[in-house]
Amino acid sequence: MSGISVIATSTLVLGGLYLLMAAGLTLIWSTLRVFNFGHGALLMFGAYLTWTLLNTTGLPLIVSLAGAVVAMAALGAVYEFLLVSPFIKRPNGDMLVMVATLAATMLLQSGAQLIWGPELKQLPPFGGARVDVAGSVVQGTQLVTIVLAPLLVGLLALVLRRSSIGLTVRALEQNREHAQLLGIPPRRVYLFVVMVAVGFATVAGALLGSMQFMSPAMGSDPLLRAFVVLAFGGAGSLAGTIAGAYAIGLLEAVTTYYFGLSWSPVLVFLAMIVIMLVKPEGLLHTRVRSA
Amino acid sequence: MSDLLTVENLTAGYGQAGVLRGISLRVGENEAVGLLGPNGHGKTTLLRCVSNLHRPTSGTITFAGRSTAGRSPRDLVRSGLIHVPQGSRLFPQLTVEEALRLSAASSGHAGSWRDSLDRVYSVFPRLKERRRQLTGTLSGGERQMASLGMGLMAQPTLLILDEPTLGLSPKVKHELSECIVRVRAEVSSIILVDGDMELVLDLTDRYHVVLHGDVVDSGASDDERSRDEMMSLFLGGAADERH
Amino acid sequence: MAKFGTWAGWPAYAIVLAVLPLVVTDPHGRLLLILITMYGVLALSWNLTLGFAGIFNFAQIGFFGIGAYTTGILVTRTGVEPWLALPVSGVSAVLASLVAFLPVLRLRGIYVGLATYVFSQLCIYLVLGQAGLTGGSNGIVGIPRLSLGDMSLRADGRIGYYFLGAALLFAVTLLVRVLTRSTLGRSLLAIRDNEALATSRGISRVRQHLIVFMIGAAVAGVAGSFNAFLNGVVSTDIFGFGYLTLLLSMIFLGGSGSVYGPIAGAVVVTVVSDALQDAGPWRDVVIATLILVVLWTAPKGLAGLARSAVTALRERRGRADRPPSASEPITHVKELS
Repeated sequence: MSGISVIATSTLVLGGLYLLMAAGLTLIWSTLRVFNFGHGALLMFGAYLTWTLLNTTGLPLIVSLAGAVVAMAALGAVYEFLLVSPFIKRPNGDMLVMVATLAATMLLQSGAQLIWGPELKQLPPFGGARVDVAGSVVQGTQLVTIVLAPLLVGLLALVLRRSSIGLTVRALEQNREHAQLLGIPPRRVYLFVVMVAVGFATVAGALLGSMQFMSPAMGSDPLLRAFVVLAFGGAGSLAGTIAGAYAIGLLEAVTTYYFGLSWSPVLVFLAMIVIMLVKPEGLLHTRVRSA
Repeated sequence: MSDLLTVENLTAGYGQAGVLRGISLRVGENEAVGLLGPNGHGKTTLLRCVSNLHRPTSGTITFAGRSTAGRSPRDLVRSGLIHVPQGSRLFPQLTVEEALRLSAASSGHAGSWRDSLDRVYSVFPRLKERRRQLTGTLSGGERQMASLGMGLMAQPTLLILDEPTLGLSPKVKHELSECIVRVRAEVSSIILVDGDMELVLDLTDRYHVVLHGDVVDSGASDDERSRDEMMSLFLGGAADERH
Repeated sequence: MAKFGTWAGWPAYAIVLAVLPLVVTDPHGRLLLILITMYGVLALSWNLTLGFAGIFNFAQIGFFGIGAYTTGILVTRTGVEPWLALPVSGVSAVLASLVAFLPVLRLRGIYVGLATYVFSQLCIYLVLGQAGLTGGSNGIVGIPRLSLGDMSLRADGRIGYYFLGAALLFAVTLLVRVLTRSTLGRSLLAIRDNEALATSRGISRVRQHLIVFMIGAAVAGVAGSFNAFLNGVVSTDIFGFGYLTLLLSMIFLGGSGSVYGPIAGAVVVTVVSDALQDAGPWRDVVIATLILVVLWTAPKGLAGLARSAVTALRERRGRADRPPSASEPITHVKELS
């Protein structure tokens, strides 16, 4: 019995984290048609920034996180302006963006090392609430992750579906040229999208930084998992991303439980490669592209 | 009559291939101008230059007294130059009404979109029936209507229609041309490009024939004599294309 | 870079490679030269897929690591003749490339990038999982050095390793040059620039891509083996982010579309990276900034800069007696974003 509840809990926690990462990547992918390799490093930077706000201002953790989200969104705007838009229109632009965002990862990682040094850091738990589920206890950050991640991504889906900025984003991803002829300014939409995605990554970073020690490389594992989620759910579909995130969370929870920590990633990656071969457009790809 | 749009000595191309060769034309206020000519002779490139989707190599374009050089498509849309592109697949996952609202909002008329919507629905009753349908599921004719309707939502002073009847059956084409007549009453000026010469001449005041990237013939659309001459010229040009 | 296209270029290149260690005699400079040859080989081989074929191949580091591990396992566990490990490592990297190529069969563009990147990461987990064979996170230590008869390649400031690396570099440069001028090379460019057209002319994308993928992997495997002998140890660092970005910066700094660009990139990045060895994280800051500045200002890299300098020089010579052309009436239309 407890085996099942352990698996269920870690499915929801891992799935939630991957969801926050992959939703941003999907959003960037479907509107800008580029892949942000720096998303993991942005997650890490967001986590450290939350730590700094918490420890220098003495604000509550959740307020520090909110501050970090705002600051990181601003950094995201700079990021888009310097690393994405200069290359996006060039021939071979998607490869240039890939290399530029890899370079950004180097910058952010070494920057974090310079700013925050090598000592181990961790964020305190988000709240002390605890819930007893079938013999296992879910509490603090895990509980917050389980609730917050789907809530935020649901909110994003709602904004995309109902608001006028959401309408603009969807129009741009469905037909870029006609969208321009309607007077939609692509650059501003790109900026908005990257800022939102970086905000989500920051939340994921803070949650992760509260569950384990932070390090400059802490973003690379979530980034890899987010790749798998995209392969699974079909990049460009928010609905597919939501399903994919929890499916990968489940796969990882089950394989870790039965095969151990070192084999789980191998199995998850093999699953990804098999999926890519069998259904390159994503296993869960449906015609509903925009959530 | 004062000019709304003037194009002077425009040249443009893709890579090494020149498509437009010093083409000039003007569109007056309250005027409908038709562009005729076989495909591949530069009509669409001309229109893409006018709405700044394509960068010309030389020449000037003036709209409403201001040069269009260096202005974004958004800026042009907001000053009333609306381009309804050729064969757009629209926004497959948006409903008709979402697409119409989007066009009003992105052209800076978010406040009055309900009024515009009523007007568009009176011009295109069919769109009202289909308003909750995704544009990706519309028929070819309905898609063109939605495309034109989106153009109207932007409250144009100059409406550019590129091949609105492309690929439509004669019956649907007829229905659409009646819609265009109603559209004509709603806007100041129109540029109409279409493969159906009769339709273009019926719906416009003046016409230009574009061959090899330049205007080779112009005239009043209701002049029967020049109409015959132009027809033979056009057919001759089109026949050249086939061989 | 000089015009290697002329017949005099190749002997000159060989002579420069042969004379360099006589000029640079201190052990540190020698090591730097050796690293340059190794990185040059690796960057050239990666550029075959990344630059010429336009495949988003991020598995090259994986092939490099697999070559190194093959050598490590072979010479420490089986006692096979060390020299034999060089070609065998190339073969094992080719076999691995068949697996890494699977995603290329059905995926395009960025998806290939994701899948091949995951392949490299997968290598790390496999190495850690097979600790009995690979030493897990401790890596493999005590790899014997190469020797030629009684002379160790380590002798005289590792001069043996230098000449081995230089020979490899020369051979691979020649290989890349011949390859890019061959029908294979031309068909790769055709596929990269207009796949539909190339396919309609009867070029098989999968076949051509597979061939270049395997050639690139073979070279990377041999380079990995070289690396294992040079260092005497192999660890999972070899699959890591550090090598990936270092190599990418060499390729894009040098010019990803050019034959010789990556060599120039290897020289510059190796020297810069070495100069900043003690600067800690600042080294990465400098290298990352270098990559970005090149991407912003010279998207074709050093090779592109050199080429346009040569063209400009020629044009100035040709135009010297003509008046400057009249200003052309150009309508400046804002580039769409």
